[in-house]
Amino acid sequence: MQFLAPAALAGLAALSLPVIIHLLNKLRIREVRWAAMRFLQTAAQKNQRRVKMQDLLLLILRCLVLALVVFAFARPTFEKIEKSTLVAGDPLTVMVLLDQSASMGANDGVEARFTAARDSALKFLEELPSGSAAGLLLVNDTYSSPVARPSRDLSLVRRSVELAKLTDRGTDFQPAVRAAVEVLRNLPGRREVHLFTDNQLSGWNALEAVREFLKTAPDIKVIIATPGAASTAAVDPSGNLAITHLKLDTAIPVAGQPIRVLAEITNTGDTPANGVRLTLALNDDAPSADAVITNLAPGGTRYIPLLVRLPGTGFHTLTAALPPDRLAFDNRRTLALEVAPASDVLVVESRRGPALWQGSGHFLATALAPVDEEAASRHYLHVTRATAADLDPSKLSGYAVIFLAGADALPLPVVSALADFVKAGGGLVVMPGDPTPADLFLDAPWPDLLPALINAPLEPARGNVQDGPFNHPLLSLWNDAAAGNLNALRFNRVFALDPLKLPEVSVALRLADNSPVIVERTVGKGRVVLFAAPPIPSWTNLPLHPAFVPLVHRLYAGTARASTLKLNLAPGDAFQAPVPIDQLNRDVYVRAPGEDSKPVAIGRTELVGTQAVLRVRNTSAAGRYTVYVGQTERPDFVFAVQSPAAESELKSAPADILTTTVAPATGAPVASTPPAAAPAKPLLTAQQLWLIALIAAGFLSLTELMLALRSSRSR
Amino acid sequence: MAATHTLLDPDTLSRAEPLGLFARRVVEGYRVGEHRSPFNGFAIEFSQHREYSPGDDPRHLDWKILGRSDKYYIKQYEQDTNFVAHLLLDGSASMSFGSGTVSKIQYARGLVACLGFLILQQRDAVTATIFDDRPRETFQRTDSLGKVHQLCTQLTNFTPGRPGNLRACLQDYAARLSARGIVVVISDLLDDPADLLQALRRLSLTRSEVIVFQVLDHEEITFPLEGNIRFIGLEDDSRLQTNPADLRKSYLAAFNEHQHAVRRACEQCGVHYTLCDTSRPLAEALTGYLAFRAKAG
Repeated sequence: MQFLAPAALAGLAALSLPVIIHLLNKLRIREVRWAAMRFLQTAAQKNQRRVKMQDLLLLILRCLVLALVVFAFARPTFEKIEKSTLVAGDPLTVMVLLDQSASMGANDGVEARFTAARDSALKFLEELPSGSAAGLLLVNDTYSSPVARPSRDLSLVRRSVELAKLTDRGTDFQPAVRAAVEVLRNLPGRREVHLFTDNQLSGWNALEAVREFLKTAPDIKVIIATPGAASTAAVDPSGNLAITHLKLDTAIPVAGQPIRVLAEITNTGDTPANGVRLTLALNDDAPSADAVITNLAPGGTRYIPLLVRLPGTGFHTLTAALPPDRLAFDNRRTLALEVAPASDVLVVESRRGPALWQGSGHFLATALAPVDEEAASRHYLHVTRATAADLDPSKLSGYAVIFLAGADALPLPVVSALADFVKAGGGLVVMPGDPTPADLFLDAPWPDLLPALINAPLEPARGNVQDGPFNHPLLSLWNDAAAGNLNALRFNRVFALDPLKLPEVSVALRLADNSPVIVERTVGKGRVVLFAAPPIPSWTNLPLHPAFVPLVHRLYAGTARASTLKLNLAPGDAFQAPVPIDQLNRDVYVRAPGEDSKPVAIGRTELVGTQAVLRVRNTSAAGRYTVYVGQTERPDFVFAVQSPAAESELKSAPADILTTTVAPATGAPVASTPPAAAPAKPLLTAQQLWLIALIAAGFLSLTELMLALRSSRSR
Repeated sequence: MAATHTLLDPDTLSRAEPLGLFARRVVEGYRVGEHRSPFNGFAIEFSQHREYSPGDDPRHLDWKILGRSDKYYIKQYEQDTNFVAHLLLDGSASMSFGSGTVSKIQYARGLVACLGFLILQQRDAVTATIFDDRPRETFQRTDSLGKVHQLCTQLTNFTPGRPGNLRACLQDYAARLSARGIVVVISDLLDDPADLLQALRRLSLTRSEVIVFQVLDHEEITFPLEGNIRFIGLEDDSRLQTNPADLRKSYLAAFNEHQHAVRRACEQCGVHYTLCDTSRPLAEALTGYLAFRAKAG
């Protein structure tokens, strides 16, 4: 038998108390001269033996009660307990790490992993040996420190654990483990790190780094407790279907026009999903589109397209939702987008005649605004066509994108203005053509703008384009067979492009003979896309191909003077947006996700450099955020926070992932691994003996009381 | 005089005086008093006639009968007389016990003094004896109220210290009792009840009226003591160390049995028995008994 708190056995000295009291009572004698001795002697002869026996029995009972209470406090156990576990009697200095990542929201229908982990942490803190100190870190993709250093005020730590809340953030154990070990490194005594988590495999991306780091502190034990993880993995009647990605599949979101949204659905459960309804809601209203997911096998992923019509310009959110399952956070995903008002596009071309259709940019201009003249003014792209000679360098900055579609040589001031235009964030698409002089792009500043050197045109050996999949966002649309394909695309002649070996240069499309056809380069705040051929049927059938219009629009969307606002954030990222200078020092209110949440003041707009900006830092919850500057009815900004898709993968890491002791606190082994030498069982045994000893002490106390009452009556 | 003031409680006397102590039976006195005398003679109240016999005083001849019938009859009268009260006080060592402000002997002294005063005041005679294993102090017979101070002085000067022998003393006193009267025994009666019964029987044979006052301390009656106590006997050197709480029930059982035997002995001998608890006022015990006596006739 072992004792978990052997120091408490010193309390056995208290056994002498009843004996001393007994002896003191015997010694403290009063003398009384008494007349009626006859009766006393008669009574004494009759009772003395019984009274002595009863006194002795009572003394023994009282000693036994004390011994049992001391025994209970010493927490006896029959099984040998590893000294490294939490229950030894010496004080422990411990850092408690509580996982609050989104995956901890998984539940088995009764209890969420997070609740189980929190309860387990509280129980652990309650059972710490006296004199122990504990700190608390809350773990997600980073960590927060409610109790940064071990404190002997364990009630503070327990309170902090009780106040901890689940977040929609990802998991990365490395920063928290490192921080906890660093805190304990220079502290004396027995030190341990206890991580209460679901031990999600994706949280150990930096596993080797953690292992290497732990070797620097060999005397600090890291113990992983996985309460609830096994039960939620085992009980899985409905599986888990997750929206792992939600993106806009339309190049330019336009008010009043249907736009296409792609939802990536992944089945992370163990059962196939069939007949599950996916809905899409605009601005948290009632769902305006839906689709049914059929036959999605476990581990499978499917892209579900949904069409929605945006009511107007400005900020909008699209929220895709699945029916509830055992992991709630990934059943909803919100995408924020901004619908810009109409923008101007300039197409610079060369003309063979006075008619517009004789211009080299005619196909391009028509594809940019594929509407008749009457509707052109209402179209979201206002296309202006001009020749190189008509260009006014001072007016270039008013366009979002400038296309050079087989244009003549540009005057130097225009080229300089173009360079400034791109560096300031404008988009430039260069499509050299027949009238383009061979040496046009050799002079400065062209080499600083173009992503490739343009050599003389040639007829390619194989004029078709490479097969997909296409990695570049410009062409990713055609990864989905439903959107068509580029198989019929042919290039008869192309300029031989020699892409620059620069990190900001990327090739979007190559021909089957590997020669690049579309190359992109980031210049300053803007982008330059270089085509190997002009949009003229004599060079390529691209203008006649069904993919031409969407490609042109994606080209526009990819190069247009984009908004610098980052509207879709990961949990924990700060939202930052510029505001007019006259709104400096205004109160900023944010309505966080949640049905009944109200706008809460989070601070004021501030001055950064010469720009007034607002910042929203607390973005732990996923969903739609609306931001108000001042007391206004209409939100000034809307953004969305999306949980990391990896959180939906509930696969647990092996229990001995750190090659340290693993303690499934609730006695349940971690899935897919045999239970290690678990201290939970001795802990349970110790608790049982503790209870038994206390119950026995109570019973003996009752017996003693009854006996004392009975003997006093009988005497 | 100091002893008189100490023992004669004015309150007790003022409450007991109207009740008085009248002889329940016919007592033999030698002075005319308030009590009927067994001697028929020459007093006021006529009793009967009897024939004259030689030797009778011719003054008692009923001359009217002699004149009418020429027969010699002697007139006999009932004679009112006083009585002698024999106050027998137990002075054994056990009487010195007292848990409160008053010990048993102090209480008994007061009782004797008050009884003596009351009896003398109604012109009866009193004699008192203090005994333990034998008579130690005797207050000579007197009918003078003025002698009550001497009685008190004698009572006060006596200090108990020896073991008692109630039976021997009472039997011896009964043997020496020459005339009927009232015998008042004041004791704690902690002796064997069988001895008491024998002594009372012997006293009853004297045809005197016997009254017993048992004086006990409140602690002896209720035994409320706590803690570890070494009890030391007052009349012998017997010692007993115990926790009274352990023995209380048995002690009270034995004590009550003893008391029952004492009462039964008194009833068997036609003796008035009164228990005096020293925690209660003397006046209450005395007037209680006298009232009972007056009522009982």
